[in-house]
Amino acid sequence: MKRLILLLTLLAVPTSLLAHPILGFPRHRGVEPLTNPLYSESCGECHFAYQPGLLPARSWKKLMAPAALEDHFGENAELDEEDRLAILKFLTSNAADTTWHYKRSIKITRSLAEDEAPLRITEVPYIKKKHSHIPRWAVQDNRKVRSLSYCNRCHTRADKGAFVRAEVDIPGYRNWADLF
Amino acid sequence: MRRMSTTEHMKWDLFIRIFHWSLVVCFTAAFISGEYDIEWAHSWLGYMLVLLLLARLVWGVTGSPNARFTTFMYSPAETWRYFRSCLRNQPLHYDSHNPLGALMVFALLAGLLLLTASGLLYEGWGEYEGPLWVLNIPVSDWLGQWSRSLHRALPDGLLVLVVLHITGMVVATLQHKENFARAMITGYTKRRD
Repeated sequence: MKRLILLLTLLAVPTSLLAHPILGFPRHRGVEPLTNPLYSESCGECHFAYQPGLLPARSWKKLMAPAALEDHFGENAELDEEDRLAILKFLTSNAADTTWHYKRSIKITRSLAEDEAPLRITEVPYIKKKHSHIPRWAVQDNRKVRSLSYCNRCHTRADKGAFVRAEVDIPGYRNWADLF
Repeated sequence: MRRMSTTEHMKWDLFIRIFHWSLVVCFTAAFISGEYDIEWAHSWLGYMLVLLLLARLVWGVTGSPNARFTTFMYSPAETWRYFRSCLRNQPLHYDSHNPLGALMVFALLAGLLLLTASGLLYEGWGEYEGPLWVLNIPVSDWLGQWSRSLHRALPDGLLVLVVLHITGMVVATLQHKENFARAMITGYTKRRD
């Protein structure tokens, strides 16, 4: 019995370190996958349904203000008030800065100053740095991609919240890893 | 009293042997985890490489004579002399690294130091974690970008060095008639007196 307790203690120490924010690592690797059908349908109708863990709550609040939705990057994306509030609640309560168990969300939060509220995910320093070495011909000048905004055109499992390099497939450039 | 024609000599001390094989394991695992983007394993393997390299630098000053950097720092003239002796297939004998092997050791150590340094810099700049981030050490965008390029390019160069290192070891084993692989495992080598 004493030995068992000792063994369990010895196991508990390293396991608890794994969950430590500095010494360990977050339990999940990407961003939290979507859990809200209303959001997936309303927003995913027009564009990739970005996971709320890709921006801090303050960004979502700015984006989801009624006036902001009227001119949503050049498009009218008005919602009826009930839906708007429900989606806003989903976005802010699952935003990057409220997430501690998904690695990418933590890094997005860390890369932003507390008063920064980018309206585009491509303006988040962490995301910018991760994509800064990609040549124009692979994305902007690539007919099948066009912009970094279309996450899922290259990140094959973006809809699952997974963005690892090994799962990137740039359309037209299957051997991209050897090219840059 | 009859003297034996060969005797066993300690060539590589215990630290060197553990260091060498730990380096082999950590570098290989770090290479693979980097290739497959297994970030948590990659960073921890990198930290282990840093510790191994730092320990080697200390041991290079304080360790056993064969392990000290001053023992195997040779002049260009001596390196050239050794190279010609190899071409004649009558290589000069050295207890520690021979001059060509020493060049390889310094190249590998320098390459690995650059590799780990660039990894730490990139991690602190672009990944928002690791020692530099925790200690709040700022890394400029220029240095961060540069570290990333270096960290991407160096492993392939090091792989070439590893192949040359193994080739050199095989050639030297044949030329010197000394079992270098065994010396890196048991520490001992047979030597003609």
